Amino acid sequence: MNSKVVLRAYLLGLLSWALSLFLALKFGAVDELDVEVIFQLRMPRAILASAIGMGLAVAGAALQALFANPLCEPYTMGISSGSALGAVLGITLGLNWTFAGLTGTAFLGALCFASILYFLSLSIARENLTLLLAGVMLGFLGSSLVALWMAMADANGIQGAMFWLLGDLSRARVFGSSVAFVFVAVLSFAVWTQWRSLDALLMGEEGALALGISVTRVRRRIILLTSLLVGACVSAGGMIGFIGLVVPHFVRHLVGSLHFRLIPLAAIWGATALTLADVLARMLARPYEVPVGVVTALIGAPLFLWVMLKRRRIV
Amino acid sequence: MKGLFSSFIMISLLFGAGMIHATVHATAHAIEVVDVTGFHLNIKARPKRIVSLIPSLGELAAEILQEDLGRIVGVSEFTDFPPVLKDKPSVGSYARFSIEKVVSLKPDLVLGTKDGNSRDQILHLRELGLPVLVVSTETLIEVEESILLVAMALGLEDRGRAVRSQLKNGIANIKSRAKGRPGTKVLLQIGDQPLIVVGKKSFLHEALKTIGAENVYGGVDISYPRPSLEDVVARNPDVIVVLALSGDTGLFERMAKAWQRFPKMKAVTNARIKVVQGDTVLRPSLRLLEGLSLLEKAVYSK
Repeated sequence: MNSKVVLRAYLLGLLSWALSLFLALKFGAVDELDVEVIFQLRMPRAILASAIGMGLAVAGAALQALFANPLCEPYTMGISSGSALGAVLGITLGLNWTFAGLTGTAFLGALCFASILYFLSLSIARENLTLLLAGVMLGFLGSSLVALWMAMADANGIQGAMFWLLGDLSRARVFGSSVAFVFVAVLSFAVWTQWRSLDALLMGEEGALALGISVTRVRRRIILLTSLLVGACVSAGGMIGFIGLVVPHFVRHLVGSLHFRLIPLAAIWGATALTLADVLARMLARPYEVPVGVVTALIGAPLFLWVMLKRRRIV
Repeated sequence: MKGLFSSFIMISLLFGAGMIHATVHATAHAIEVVDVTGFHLNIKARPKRIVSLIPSLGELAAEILQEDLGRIVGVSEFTDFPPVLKDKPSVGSYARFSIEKVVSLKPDLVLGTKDGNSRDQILHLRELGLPVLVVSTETLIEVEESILLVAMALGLEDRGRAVRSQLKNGIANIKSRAKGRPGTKVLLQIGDQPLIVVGKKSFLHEALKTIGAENVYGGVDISYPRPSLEDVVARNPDVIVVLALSGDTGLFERMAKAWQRFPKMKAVTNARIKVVQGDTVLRPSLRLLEGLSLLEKAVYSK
C-alpha cells in the first residue's frame, strides 16, 4: 500500500469530518440560525457524535484483530448489555434527571461487566474462541435482565429506556460531551500505541509468540482498553450499532490491515460517519427525531451490501 | 417491539405521582411561581410566548386564555383541541420533543407535566434558561390544582379559580349521582398485545371510583399493569371498556371484539363491551367532565 493512498485517505477523512461538523452545526430541527441553538445544542451533539463514532470504530477495529474475527464489533463482547442494565437501573432509581445520572449508572454497569470479562480472561486466557463465547454469553445475560426489567416495570419508565436503547444523542451538554471526547480520544490513542501487538495477532497466536509477543498480556490490555471505550460510548449515547462493525472494514479496504494507520483512520471515519448520521437523524422527520442508531443501520446495511456485491468481497 | 412502543405512546398520556405545593407572589412587573418540582420561576407579568409540551396543557392554557390564543406560540404533536391549536407550530411528541424547536420559539413560559414529559428534557430546557412550569395531573385533586397553577403563571388567577370551581362542581355532581350505585366490576383496557390495563396508581383508577365503579385491577399497585389473559378471565369483569385514542377507531373495535373468544365472561354474555373515545378522559383539563360522563354512560347505561 503506497503512502499516497494513505495520505489521500487521511486528507479525505479529515475533510469529510470537517464537512460533517459544518453540516451538524448548520442543519437541525429549525431552519433559522440562532447562536444559542448552535452553541448550546448543535455543537455539543456534534462533539458527542464525533467522540462516540471514534470510540466505536476504534474498539471495533481492535476487537476484530484481537479475535481474528471479522464479525466482531463493540457489542459482541457483552459490555454494552452491562451498560444497558446500568441504564435501566438508573431509570428505575430515578437518576435519569441529569445527563450524568443516566450516563454514570450506565458506565458503572459497563465497568461491572468489563471486570467480569477481564477476570474470565485471566482464567481462560489460552483460547480466543472461549473468551469470545464467554463475552457473547455475558451479553445474553445482560440483555435478558433488561428484558425482564421491561416486562415487570411500569410502562411509564420504559419509555425513557426505549429512547436510550435505540441510540440518543439529544442529551448532549457542552461540558459532558467535551469530557466524553477527551476520554475517548485518550483511550483511542492508548489502543493505537498497541499497533505492533495488534498486527502480530493477525498472524495468529503462534505467529505472535514467534515474534516475541505475549498474547495473553496483549489480550488483557486490549480487553481493558476496549471495555472502557465501549462503556464510555454506550453510556453517553445508547446502543448505536453498525459504526463499530462497518467503519473498520471500510478503512481496511482503503489502506489495508496494518494497525499503525488503520486505528487513526478508523477514528476519523467513525467520527465522520456518526456525525453525518446524526444530522440525518435530526432532519429526516422534523420536528421528531429518529433515533440515531436506526439511521446508522438503515443507511449502513444497504451500503455495506452494495459495496460487498460490487467488490465481491470486503473482509 | 413495535407493539410495545405504540402502547407506550398510548399510555403515557397519563402521568405519575406527586403532590402539589404551589405558591405565587405577583407584582406589577413579574410573577414568581413555585411549581410542583419546587422550581422557582420568574415569569413576565403577562407571558406572550407560551409553549405547551403536552396536549392536555395546550387545552388547559386555551381554556384559561379563552379568546387570547395568540399568546400560545407552540404546542406538542396531537394537540387538537380547541381546533385552532392544530395550526400552531409543533415541537414534536410530548415524550421526546425537539429541544431545538422549543428554544427557537423563544418562549417566555413553557408548560410541562411531571411524568408525561421526560424529566431530563425538562431539566435540559431549564439549563438553557427557559422558564418551565411543571404541573402534576395524576389525581383529580392535582388536576384541580394544576388549573390554578397554570392560570397564575399566565397572570389570570381569577379565571383559574373560576375554571377550577367549575371542574370541582362537575366532579361533585358526578359523585352524587354515583351514590348508591352497584359497584360494577370494570376492566379498563388501554392496549392489547401486550394487554395493558389500569392499575391502582393511575389517574383512570380514580376516574372509575368517581363514577362509582370498581376497577378489577384496583388492587395492583402500579399505574399500568400488563396482566395475562387468563388472569382477566378469572377476574371476570361485568363490563369491559376499551379506551380509544383519536385516529384509527377500527383498531379499538378489533380490541373489543377480541374478547368474544371468551364467551363465559360476564361482560361477553351480557354484551357489555364498550369502546369509549378516550381523548377527553385522558387529557386532564376541563374536558375531563365530558370524559367522566362518557365513562359513566359506558358502564351504567344499558
